[in-house]
Amino acid sequence: MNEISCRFSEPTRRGLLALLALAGAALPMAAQAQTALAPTAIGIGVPSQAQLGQLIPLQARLVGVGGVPIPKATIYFTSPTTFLNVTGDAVLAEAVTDAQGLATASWRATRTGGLTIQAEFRGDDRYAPAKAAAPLVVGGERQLYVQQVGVRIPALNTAPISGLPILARLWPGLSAWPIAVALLVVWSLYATVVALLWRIAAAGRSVPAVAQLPSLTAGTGSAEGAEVQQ
Amino acid sequence: MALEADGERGGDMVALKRTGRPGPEYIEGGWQPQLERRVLAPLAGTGPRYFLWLAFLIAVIGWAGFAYLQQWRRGLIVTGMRDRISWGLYITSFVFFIGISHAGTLLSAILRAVKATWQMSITRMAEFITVVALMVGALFPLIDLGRPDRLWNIVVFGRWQSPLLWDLLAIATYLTGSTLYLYLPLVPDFALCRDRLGPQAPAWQRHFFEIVALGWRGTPEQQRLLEHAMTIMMVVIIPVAVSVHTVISWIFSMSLREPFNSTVFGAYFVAGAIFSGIAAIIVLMAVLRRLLRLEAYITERQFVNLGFLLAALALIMVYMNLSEYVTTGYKMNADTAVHFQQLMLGRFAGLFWFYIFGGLVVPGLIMLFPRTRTIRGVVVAATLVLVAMWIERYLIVVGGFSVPLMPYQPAQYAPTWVEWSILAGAFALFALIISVFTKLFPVVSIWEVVEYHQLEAATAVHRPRHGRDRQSAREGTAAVPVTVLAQEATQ
Amino acid sequence: MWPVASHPATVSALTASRRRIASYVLTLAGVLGVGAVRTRTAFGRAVVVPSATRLAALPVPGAGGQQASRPTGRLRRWAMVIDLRRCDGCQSVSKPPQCTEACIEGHFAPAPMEWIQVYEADLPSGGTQFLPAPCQQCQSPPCTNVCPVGATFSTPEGVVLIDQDRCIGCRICLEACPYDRRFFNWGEPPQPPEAKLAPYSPEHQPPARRGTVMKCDFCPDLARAGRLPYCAQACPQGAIYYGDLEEDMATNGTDVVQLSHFITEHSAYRLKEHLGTEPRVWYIAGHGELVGRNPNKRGRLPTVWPWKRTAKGAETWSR
Repeated sequence: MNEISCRFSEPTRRGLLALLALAGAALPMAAQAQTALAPTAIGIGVPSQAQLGQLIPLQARLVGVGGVPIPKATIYFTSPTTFLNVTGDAVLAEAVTDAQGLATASWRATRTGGLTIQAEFRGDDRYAPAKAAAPLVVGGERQLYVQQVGVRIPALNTAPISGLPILARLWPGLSAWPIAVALLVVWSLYATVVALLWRIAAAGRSVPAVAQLPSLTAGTGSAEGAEVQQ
Repeated sequence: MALEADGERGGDMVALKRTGRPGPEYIEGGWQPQLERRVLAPLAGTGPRYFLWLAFLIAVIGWAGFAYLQQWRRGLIVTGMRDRISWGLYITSFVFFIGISHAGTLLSAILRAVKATWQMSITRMAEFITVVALMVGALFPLIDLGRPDRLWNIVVFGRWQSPLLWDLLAIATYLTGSTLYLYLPLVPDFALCRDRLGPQAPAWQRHFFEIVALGWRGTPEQQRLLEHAMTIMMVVIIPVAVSVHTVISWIFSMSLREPFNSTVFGAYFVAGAIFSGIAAIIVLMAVLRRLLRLEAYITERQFVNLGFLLAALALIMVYMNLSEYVTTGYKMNADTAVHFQQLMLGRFAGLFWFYIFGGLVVPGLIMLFPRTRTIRGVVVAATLVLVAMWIERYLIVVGGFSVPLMPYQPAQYAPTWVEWSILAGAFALFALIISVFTKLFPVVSIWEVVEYHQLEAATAVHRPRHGRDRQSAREGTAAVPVTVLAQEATQ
Repeated sequence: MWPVASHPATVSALTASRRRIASYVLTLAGVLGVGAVRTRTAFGRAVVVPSATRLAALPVPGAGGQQASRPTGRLRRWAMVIDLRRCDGCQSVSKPPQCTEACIEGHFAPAPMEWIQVYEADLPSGGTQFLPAPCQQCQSPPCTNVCPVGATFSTPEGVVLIDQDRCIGCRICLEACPYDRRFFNWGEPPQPPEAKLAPYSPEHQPPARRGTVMKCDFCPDLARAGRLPYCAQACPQGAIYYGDLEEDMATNGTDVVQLSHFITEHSAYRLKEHLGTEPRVWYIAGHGELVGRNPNKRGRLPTVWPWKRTAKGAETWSR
């Protein structure tokens, strides 16, 4: 396996990297190379610093024996990550090398701190795998992911985070105002009617009581001959 | 013809109280005293049959209470509802009762607003139905709650965005409005009761009427104020009623489930509400007319006119159903296909086709042919409509929940005895409160009917003597001597 | 972060009752500060120990999102990717779907609730695929919109939770959810005694209460403590990836992937995308082919709940 990886200490790694990138030499450094596969070497180019959320260009050049570029090879840009106590190489992007053996991709920086970006060529039936790494420091601090809710109508299709008493919620709600206004109109009309009833009662008090009207069942009369049962 | 002073006629009053019917000596001629006597008879006396009826209703309500106790103790597991069909009989009946409550709005408010007069004798019953149906209907969401002990949370933590809170506000507003609208025309009738029931009436009754009559003396100023109040309420109650059932439909159509995901639900539910409300009035009218012997005042004319309204609303319902089913059926997306298969060919087919034919087609046909356009025919149509509309609510609720959301087999729903008992108890409560109302309030709006008659007689309109009015002509309401009316007008 | 020690016992070999004893022991161990929450079987996959062990090892479940953020102050936005190419309904291990089992045991979900439920959907070619469906944690959740008392709500991390102290049991949220992912406690829910050990909070739903609604909560307290949810831990094929949209990373316990790239690369989709609920659970299309499943092999073992009847008066019901 030809690897120029983090096994080495940082300064050594940087040095080797620079050497390879400048000279384009393709001499393998590790021990047994598989006899069927041609040796390869890969160099990676990333900025050393970036801001959070920035789109970072990633480049890698894959060369074979004698510095001959290898086209149409898939390069994976990965980064060792620890997420929820699981560590592994996360694939950030993929790219295919062109005629000059150059693969370009980009990655939006979503993690901060000192990261390592790796370019991997996983090998195929002709070429041996290769891997290169470079450091990247991402700084900055802001919330990148904003929730998308489609058409967001305040208080209509957005949910409250926590409960608030109904009175406190009278302010922000767009949908609350039509309801509140409609209820106000209707109930004030009810209040008007009740006031009218009050006035009816008051008017009744001021009228002297009429002499008792004849009771309903007073008087004689013929039988209910006019009544016809259905 | 003179009306003699009170005090000497205790015998007749006693006769009235003992048997519930007027005695053999009866005031002859005077149409208005006849009306008053007939309508106030239930208030004057109660027979044993009434108490038997009350006892039966209370027994049914007691059984429903026992059923609810099971639910309170063990939880909603005693019902047939489960996660996949999480609303059932309770919400069905909720929608049904609130729907019936639109009876009063239509008759009292809408018809009054267009200055129709034929319905004057039945507006009181319609308003009864409105108030009582709202009271009973509003109980159902409470019965349906999993944690009724936390009811106060709705008040404290209520969210404006929730359709259920809209329901709560709308029903509270409508109930208040219809109570006011029931009370306003009752004031002159209460005054009549206060004045005319005589000293033989029990003390509680006299005090009751004294209070609720609000000192009504019939002065022009009071009449003007009452007219003003009634106009306000008439105008306000119509949009409130429309909004109530629209908002109730929105607890369904504000969800993303396929049969509910429809824009036409608001109009559909309001039309259905008015439809079932008319049917409810017809049935109550028929019952009270027979029991309280109001044949003279609730005539074939009212039944036939209401029957025509019923048929018109049936046509509107046919239109709404066509709108709904033709448009979704033409497109037939996957969920609609499942829904249609269940509704029209599968598990709900019997109920659905009974609703379509029994509830929409047959009532229309009954009203179409003069042979069936009788009181009996109209009452049959109304009964069919009531049953069919309850079934339609059931199909909406349970049918909607029966469409699977994910790859699983559609769930089944079978209501348990608890749900049926509570439904029976709700109907019994409805009947109970109306029965109590008939003893407290005159079931016909006497002063309005009198007003209408005076108006008709004064303008000397000759009512046509064809079929519809033959009955009323025989019963003596058609040709009232103008002289007698003039005498009474001076009372 | 939090004191965690690996426990070498093979807990998966224990039966349910033994697991309960183990949980008591581990609770004790946890109280003593050596709480274990993950173990490894011979196959190298983590299995779940019942949540009683969470007591000591985890921070006290709180109401908010402060602890979900990383020290720099950015809030997490939890999401899931379920690789259906790896899900075979646990046919290959001849068990009921382990994600469901772990979730039930971890949360003491009363029967018949399957907060993550493995549906079997028909494929056009004639076979079936398995579809594990947790709560989709929609970003525009229909359930939160319709709740009349605000008992269900979204946290800043985007997880939709339920406050069972406030829920009135009206069930309009069950009507509103288009994914069949909410469950109601129709009767006294069957719960084991351990359910009452930890204090209740919306993020730690046991003990279940009659007349309230429950559902998958993405295990936010586990995530805050740096662990995967029970379902992701328990999947023997590693089909469930749990990740953060903010840091754009996800893991299934073995591999770490960049979330957005993973989704794009495998053309992952969301359920009922056209409804606009913006769920946070992506699916990579498949039928278990990466773990050697023949799509024509139908059927999975039915889910079991270890505690169908434990408390007096508790009763189970069907869905």
